[in-house]
Amino acid sequence: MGLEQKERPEPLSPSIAAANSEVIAALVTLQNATNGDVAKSARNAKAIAARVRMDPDLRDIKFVQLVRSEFDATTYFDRDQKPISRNILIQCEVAR
Amino acid sequence: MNRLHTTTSADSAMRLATLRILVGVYALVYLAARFVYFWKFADLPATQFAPVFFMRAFDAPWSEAAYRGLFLALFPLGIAFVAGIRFEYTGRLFSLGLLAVLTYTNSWGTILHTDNLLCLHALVLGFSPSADSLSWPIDDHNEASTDSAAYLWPIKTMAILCVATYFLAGIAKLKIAGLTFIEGENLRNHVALAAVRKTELGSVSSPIGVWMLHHTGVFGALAALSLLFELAAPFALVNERLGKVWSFGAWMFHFGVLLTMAIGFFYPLSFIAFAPFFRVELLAERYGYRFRKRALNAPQTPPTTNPPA
Repeated sequence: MGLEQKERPEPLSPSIAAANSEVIAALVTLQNATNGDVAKSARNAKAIAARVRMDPDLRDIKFVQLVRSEFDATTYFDRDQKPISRNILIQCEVAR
Repeated sequence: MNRLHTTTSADSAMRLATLRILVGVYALVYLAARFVYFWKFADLPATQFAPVFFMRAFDAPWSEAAYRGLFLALFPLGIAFVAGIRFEYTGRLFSLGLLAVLTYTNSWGTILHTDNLLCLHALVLGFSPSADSLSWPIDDHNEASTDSAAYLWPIKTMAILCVATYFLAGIAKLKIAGLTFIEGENLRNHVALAAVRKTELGSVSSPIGVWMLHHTGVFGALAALSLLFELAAPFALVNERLGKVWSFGAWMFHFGVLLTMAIGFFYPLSFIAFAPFFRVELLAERYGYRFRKRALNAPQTPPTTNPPA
């Protein structure tokens, strides 16, 4: 997720979040990135932040978060696209 | 099956050669259009390596140079495959190279099933006499053998492989969900999951699929129809008409998946996956002969000989 200052977190595109345009491949990459230790998550968050910094369209993003969310897929769109639960695994500042 | 391809050996050779060109061009466009996607596999962390098929023989990912070198080599090999240049080598090398690259890229935790049929079709074409017609250099010696069986088995094999992928998908649905699949709840969950996954990962989800989630009855009909098309796939081999009808049905299925789940299975959507069920040699007769005639009418450079000493 990418965060502007004091704004609601917004999902980053697969190519930014996982350096892969394929959604399912990006999902696997992110699962892999968050299934390990904190140091591994931190390394991945830094890599994502670096990609955010390089993208001029994302210049307002101040922070990057790696989160693990739980969804009820069939009611997700009726719940204002909110997860049942969301845990922030790590947050990383985008160095400007 | 016997009535699927009732053509002369020249027609069969032309059909097989047209299939070679169609599949080869598709593969090249697929690799080129997704160049960045393929290129970046060399950057993935080794911890994500989850080898499939022959990649299980490798304990670790290939070196960056080996993978990218092989990937880049597919482009000249693919051009030679399409043109039929030195096909006894390039046909095999391109199809095996494509198999290697697609197996490698499917060895990172995500298997793109749509790659399978393309790869299998390329292998059949690469290891068959598919360049006996419509190959470079164009000359009058570019003629097919009189043995039509040599050209029919690859075409039939391609059709069987196509049908098998759908039939196996139908069997898998029955194995996972049983006959309750046709109640539609399972399909509805798949559509919902695809929409959530794409939305949460910052991609584009299908508004039609999201709208359909409120109309649960639709999913029962769609589930029954998709299962019917998959399990009935072998009937496409009975005769030419059934093959064509089934091909259009299968294409509609993929178009439906694109509309409702925003997931594009581009090989079947291109319709080239179903080309073995059609008289594609008519395309070659229409466009290929014109090209061939122009090439043969082009001024020829006389052979140069060294003057006698």
